[in-house]
Amino acid sequence: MTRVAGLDIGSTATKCVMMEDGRVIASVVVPSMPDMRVAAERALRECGAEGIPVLTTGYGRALYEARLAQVSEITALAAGVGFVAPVAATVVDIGGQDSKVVRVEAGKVVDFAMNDRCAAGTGRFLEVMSRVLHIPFEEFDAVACDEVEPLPVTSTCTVFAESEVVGLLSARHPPARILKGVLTSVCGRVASLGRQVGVKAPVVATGGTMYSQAVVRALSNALGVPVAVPAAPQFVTATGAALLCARRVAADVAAAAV
Amino acid sequence: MVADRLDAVADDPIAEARSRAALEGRALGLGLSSYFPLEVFDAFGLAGVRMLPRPMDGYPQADGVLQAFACAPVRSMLETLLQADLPIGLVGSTSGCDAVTTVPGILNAAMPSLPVVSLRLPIAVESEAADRHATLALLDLCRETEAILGRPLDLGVLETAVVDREAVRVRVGNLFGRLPTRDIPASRAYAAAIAAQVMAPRAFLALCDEVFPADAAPTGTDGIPILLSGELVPSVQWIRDLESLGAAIVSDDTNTGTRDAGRRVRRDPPNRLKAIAESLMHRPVHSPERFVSGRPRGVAARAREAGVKAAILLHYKFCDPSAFEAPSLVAALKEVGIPSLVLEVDRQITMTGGDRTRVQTLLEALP
Amino acid sequence: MIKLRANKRLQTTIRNQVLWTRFGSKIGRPVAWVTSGSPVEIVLAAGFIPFYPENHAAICAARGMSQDLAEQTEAEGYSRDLCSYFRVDVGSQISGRTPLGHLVPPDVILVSNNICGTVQNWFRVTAERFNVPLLFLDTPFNDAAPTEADVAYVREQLVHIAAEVARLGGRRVTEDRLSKVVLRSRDALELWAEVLAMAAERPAPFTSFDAFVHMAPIVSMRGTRRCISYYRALRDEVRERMKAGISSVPDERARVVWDNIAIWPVHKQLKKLFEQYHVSLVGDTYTSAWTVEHLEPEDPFTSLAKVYTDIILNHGAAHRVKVLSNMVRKFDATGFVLHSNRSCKRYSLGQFGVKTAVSSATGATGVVVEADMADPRSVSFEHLQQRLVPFFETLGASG
Repeated sequence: MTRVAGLDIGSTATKCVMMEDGRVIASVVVPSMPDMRVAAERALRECGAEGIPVLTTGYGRALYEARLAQVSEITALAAGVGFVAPVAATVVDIGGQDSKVVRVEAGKVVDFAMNDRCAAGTGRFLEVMSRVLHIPFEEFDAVACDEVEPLPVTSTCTVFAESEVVGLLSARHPPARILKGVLTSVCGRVASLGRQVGVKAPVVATGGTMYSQAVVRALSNALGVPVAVPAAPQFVTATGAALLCARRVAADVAAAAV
Repeated sequence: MVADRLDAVADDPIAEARSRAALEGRALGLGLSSYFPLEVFDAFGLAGVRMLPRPMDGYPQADGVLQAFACAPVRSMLETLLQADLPIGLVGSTSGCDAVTTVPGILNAAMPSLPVVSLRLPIAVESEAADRHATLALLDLCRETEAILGRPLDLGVLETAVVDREAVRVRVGNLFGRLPTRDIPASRAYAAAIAAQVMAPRAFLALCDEVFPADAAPTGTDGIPILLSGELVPSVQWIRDLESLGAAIVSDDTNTGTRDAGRRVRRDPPNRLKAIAESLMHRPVHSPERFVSGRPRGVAARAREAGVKAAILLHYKFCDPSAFEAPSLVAALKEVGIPSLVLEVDRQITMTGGDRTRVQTLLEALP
Repeated sequence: MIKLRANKRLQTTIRNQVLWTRFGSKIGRPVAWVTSGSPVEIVLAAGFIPFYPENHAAICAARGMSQDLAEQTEAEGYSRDLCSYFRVDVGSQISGRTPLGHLVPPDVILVSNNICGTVQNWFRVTAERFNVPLLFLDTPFNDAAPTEADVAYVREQLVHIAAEVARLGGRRVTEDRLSKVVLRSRDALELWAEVLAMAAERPAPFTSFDAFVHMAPIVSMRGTRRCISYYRALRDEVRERMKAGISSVPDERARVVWDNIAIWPVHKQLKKLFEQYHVSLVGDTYTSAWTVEHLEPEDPFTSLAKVYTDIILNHGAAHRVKVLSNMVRKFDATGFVLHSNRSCKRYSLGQFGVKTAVSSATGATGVVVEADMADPRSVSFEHLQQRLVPFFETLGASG
C-alpha cells in the first residue's frame, strides 16, 4: 500500500492529488501566487501528502525541491487523461497563461501544440474580458446561455480586443452577446492550435475554465466535434503526475529488488 | 581556467568587443550579419567584430524606434548601437531579410552621426551575373568605406586577415564536426562559435588551442541526441538550459558561427576582393531556387546521419525566413522518422518556462 | 456624396479579367503567377496570362474571407506572424475557396524581391505546391538611385527570364514585341498618375480610399489595352468632378497623406470615419508606386531594369521620407498617417523615424497606427479610432 502525490504547480493555481493503489484519495487546489514554493507546500499539507513521494509538474515544477522527479505538464496531462478518459485521442487544456492541444495515445503524448506568448486563447484573455464586461466567471453559464447570439470579437491581441469590447459596450451592445463573442474568439484561437496537430475525436477538455458549460460549448463549436469534460477537469494534470509518480516508485522498488 | 575565459567572452561578446578595441587601440568595424566579410574591415584598420544578440533586460532605446513585430536579434543589435557606448568606427550591413534591410535606415534616422555602409549582395546565387555583381558591390563598399574613414584598404593586412579569418572558420567548423562523437559539450562549441565572431582571429585560435587540446580525453555529455537548426543561438546559457533538460546537440544546422564556417576564399586568382565576394555567394541563404533544390531534404539527411532522436528548430519570433522554412523542415524530418519542435524565441534571450515545457515534453515523448 | 461611376466599371473590368484569364487558360494560353512588382511586360510579350496572388489576397481580405483562409495556412504550420497576404493566398490554394470562383493554376511563377523578401518565400512555397518552375528577379536594394552596375545586373536577368518564359511555353520575346507592351504600360501608368495628381485640387475630387480600390487594374492589367481604356475613362470622370468642384469628402476641412497598404478588414469603416471628420486622404505612397516615370519603349530591357529596381519599397527610409514629404507638399496636406502594418516589415519597420523626419521637413503632423492589411485578428477599428480622432482634431477637423 503506497501513497504517492502529484503536484501541479501552475501559474495561477497549484493542484495536489494523492493516490493510493491506483485510486485518487484526496485532492486540493490553492492559489499559486504570491509564492509558488509556499503554495506547493501548502497544497501538500492540506492534501495530507507530506512525507510521501511527490512528482511535480506545471510551470513551477522545479521550485519544489523535495520531489522524486518532475515532468512537463503536457506529459502529465497525457498520463492523467489516459487514466480519467482512456478513450480520448485529443486533449484540449485551457490554462491560466497557456493553452495546449495534445494528441494522446494510451496516456502518452503523440504530438502537441502550445500557444505562443500572446495571451489570446488562454484563461488570461477570459479574465481580462470578464473584468471589462463585469461578468464574473461563475456567471458565464447563466449569461452566455444557448439563446444568445455571439457578437464577433475579431481582434485576438488582448489589448486590441479589450478596446474592441469597450467599443461594443459603448455602442450599447448587450454584454451577454459580447461575452459569447469573447468565448468564440478564445476557442477559435485554441482550435487553430488544434489544427497544427490535427484534432482527432474523441476530444477531452481539461483545465479550470472547463467548469463553465458555456466555455465547453464554445470549444465544441470551434472544434466542430463534441467535447467531453472529466469530473474534475482542473485536477487531470496533477492526477497524471501522481500516476507517473506511482510508476516511478514501482520501478525503483523493482530495481532495488534486482 | 582557459575555458572560463572562453565562457566569459561568449556570455558577453559585446564587452569583449569593447575591451578588444581598447586593447588594440582601434575602433570597431561592426558587421551586422553573418555574411559581412569582417576581413575587409580588418584591412581598413578597424577591429572587425560581428554584432551578436546579447542578454539584456529590456530594449528601452530600440523599442522607441522599432515596432513590436521585429525579431529579438535585430532589436538587440539596435539596442546595443543606440546605447552609444561602443567605440564604433563603422557599421556594415548586408542585404538580407526584410527586417535587416530596414536597419541602416533606422540607424541613420536615430543616429545620424553613426557611419553605416551596406554590402548589397545579390540574393540570386549561382549565376555568373550574380558573382560579378557581388564583386562590384564589394568594390562599392570599399570605396565608400575609404571615403568615410579617410584611409585606403591595406592590401597586405587584407592578405593576412583573409588567411586568419578562414582559419577561424575552419576551426569552428572542426569543433562542430566533433559534436556527433560527443568529444566536447555542445555548449562549449557554441561558446567558441560566439567568441569567434568578436575576438581577434589569432587570439581566438590560441585560446582554442588551449581549451580544446588535440589530445584531450572526450569530455562529452550524456543526453538524448538532437539536431539544432536555426540562425543564431540567443546565448550560451540558452544552450546550457537545453542541455540541462537532457538534450545533447550532436548536429547543428546553420546557427551562429556554423552558418559561415564553410565559406572558403579562393587563393589563386589575383583579385582578392573578387575572391571574397565570390566566397559570399555560396552562402546557405534562403535563395528560393536553392531551397527548392533541397534544403529540407539536406537537413533531414544530416539529422539521420548524426543519429539524432529529435530536432529542435530554434526560430525567432517575427523572423520571416525561418518561419517560411519551418513547415518544410518539419515535414522532411518527419519523413525520415525524426520528430521536431519549433521553438519561437521572443524577447528573452534565456529559455522561457514555456519553451522548457515544450522541450521537456518532446524528450519525454520519445520512445 | 456623389459616387464614382467608375466603381461599377471597375467591377465589370475585374470580372472580365477573371473570365479572360479562365478562358485564356482553357484555350491553351500559358499562365504566369507574378508579384505586383514583377516586370509583367516580359510575361505579356511572351503571350502568358498574368495572375497576381497579392491582388487576389487583397480581394479576399476586402470580402471578409481572410481570417478563414489564413487559418488554413496556419494549420500547415506557418506562423501567424507571417505576411497575411501570403497566408490568405496559400489558404485559398489549400482550400480551393476564392471569390474568383476558382484559381487558374500557374505554368510558371515570376517573383522579384523589389517589393520585399517575403514574396520570395511565398512564391517559392506556391511553386512547390503546383510543382512549376520559379523564375526569380533579384533587384539590389538601393541607398540612392540604382547604379549602372545594378541596372546591368538586373537587365541581364531580364534577358534570361525572357528566354526562360519563351522556353516554358511562351512566344519569343523580341525587343519589338516588348516595346509595344512597355508602351501600353507607360500609357496606363501616366493616366493613373494623372488621376492621382488631381487629388491636389481643393476640394479633392478623388481620394486614396478611391485609389486603393481603383488601383486593381494598374497592378494586374498594366501592359494591356483594356487597362489604358479603363484609366482614360477614370481620368475623364475625375477631371469632370474636379471641374465641377465635386469633393470626395463632404465639406473638406483637412488633408492627409497615407503611408503603407490599406487596412482591408476595416477599409469601409475607415473611409466613413474620414468622411465623418471631413478629412480627405489625398495621397499615399502605395497606390502611387505604380506611377513610375522613365519607362521607355526604346531599349525596353534596360528601361524595365531601371524602373523595376527603383520602386519605392526597394529603397530605405531616407527615400520614404523624401517621397512622403514631397507628397505632403504637393497635396497641401497638414497631416500624415503611417500605417504600421504588421504583415509588411519592409514597408513598416522604421516608420517612427520616418514620422519625425517628415514632420520636421514639412511641419505636418504625423501619427502611427498599428494594424494589418488583411488579418482582422490584428486589426481593431476602435484602436484606430482612438488614434485618429485626436489626430484629426489636431488638424482642426471635427466630426
